[in-house]
Amino acid sequence: MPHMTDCGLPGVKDIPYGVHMCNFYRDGNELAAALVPYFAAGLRASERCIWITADPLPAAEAKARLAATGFDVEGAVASGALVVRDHDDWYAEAGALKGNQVVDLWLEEEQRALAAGYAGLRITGNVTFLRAEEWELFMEYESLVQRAFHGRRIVTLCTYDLGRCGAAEVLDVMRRHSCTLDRPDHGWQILTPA
Amino acid sequence: MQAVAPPHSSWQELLASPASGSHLLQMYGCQDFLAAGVAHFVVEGLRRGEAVLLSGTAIHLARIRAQLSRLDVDLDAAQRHGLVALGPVEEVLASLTANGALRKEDFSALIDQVLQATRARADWTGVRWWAEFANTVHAAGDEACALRIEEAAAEAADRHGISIFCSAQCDRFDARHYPALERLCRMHTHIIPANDYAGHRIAVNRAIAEEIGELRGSHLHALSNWKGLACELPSSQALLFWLREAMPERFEAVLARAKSYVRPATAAGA
Repeated sequence: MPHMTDCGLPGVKDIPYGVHMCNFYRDGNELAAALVPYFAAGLRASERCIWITADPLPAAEAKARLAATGFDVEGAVASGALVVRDHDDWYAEAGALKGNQVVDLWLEEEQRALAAGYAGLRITGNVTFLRAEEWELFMEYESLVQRAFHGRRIVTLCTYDLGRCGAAEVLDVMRRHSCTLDRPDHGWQILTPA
Repeated sequence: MQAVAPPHSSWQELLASPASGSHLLQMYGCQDFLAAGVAHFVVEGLRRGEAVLLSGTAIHLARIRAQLSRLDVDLDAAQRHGLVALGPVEEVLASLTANGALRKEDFSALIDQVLQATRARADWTGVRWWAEFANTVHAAGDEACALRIEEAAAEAADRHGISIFCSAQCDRFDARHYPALERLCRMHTHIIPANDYAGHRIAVNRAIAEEIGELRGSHLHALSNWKGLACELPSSQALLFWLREAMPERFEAVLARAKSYVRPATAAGA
């Protein structure tokens, strides 16, 4: 199986499986501009796609935005290739788990996806639900993900609301991801650490 | 931006169980923070059955003893169980410089000798050492000698698998201190820039937001390309080092704003 896959974002070429990316957005439109092509590429690449949504792009709107690109979203959901769930719904099951248990849950999802014939697993989480007092704990989880997903057939894009991140939070996040996806004026770019 | 192990969420967590071979630096502005940090390092070391060595100035050793007493540490019992105050650093430094400038080899030999004697006393679970040799010579105006001492300490921590904790007096909101601070940080594995990490973060975030704006586009590129200092330090302090390099023209303004936003209890660099 190939070690690279299409990121989906215009201007960003193939990315390796195991990559753990982050993106900072200002509003729902910017968030959709990252996640819709990201998941469209995952579906085209026969990856199992799991989209955990939260404001400002809840599940119903996320599906509508993806459908607007011409994808048969309901068909993909029915086949199991695509899962779009609101954070509240997902959190009811996974929220009580500790960081390493959530990581294990994703690794099990990867194994299930591969056993079912998918090329890999593509996931995202938008963390607008995080409270300030949960930040440190969540950064520990991101560190676990960064270590555990390396070399696995999982592609991850974590999205953060720039309006809720100060400069120190931006650096916290960048330090715990393989790279940052940014969209300055001239199109998407992938920023890798020096 | 160099990938560095994620920072600890507090200095208490870091000083409780520093990794073998670590060389830690506390940046302090007030004596209370110095004493609180060292006392915590001592208490946690004794609790873990480690030998704890202290090399400070006479004044600081007295403050640390007072702080330990406030924490209900029985100093006599502690000294029977591994706490060793090695005497004022002024005397040790005087003996090492009797024939001229302090030589790194002599300082390394002293460390080896002390550790050999310490290990011969008992079968400790580990050894931790707080020292302010470098701070003392730096305060006397000899930065080159301070760096030689830090270099020897870093090598010794690694060679002997112990943790060495240093304290350096400075004003982390004074741009004039940063060239020396950066050189000092590069010789350590972990940096403690403030007593109140959350307060420091809030102050730096607010200062950067007002002086620089949000970190996107070219700022994000510059931050991603920054090589960092190759030591573990909280993001708020890492950002200040980055700003000094990436936007030197804005650095002093950010520092001044951050200083004004630091909570009163920590304004003195505590």
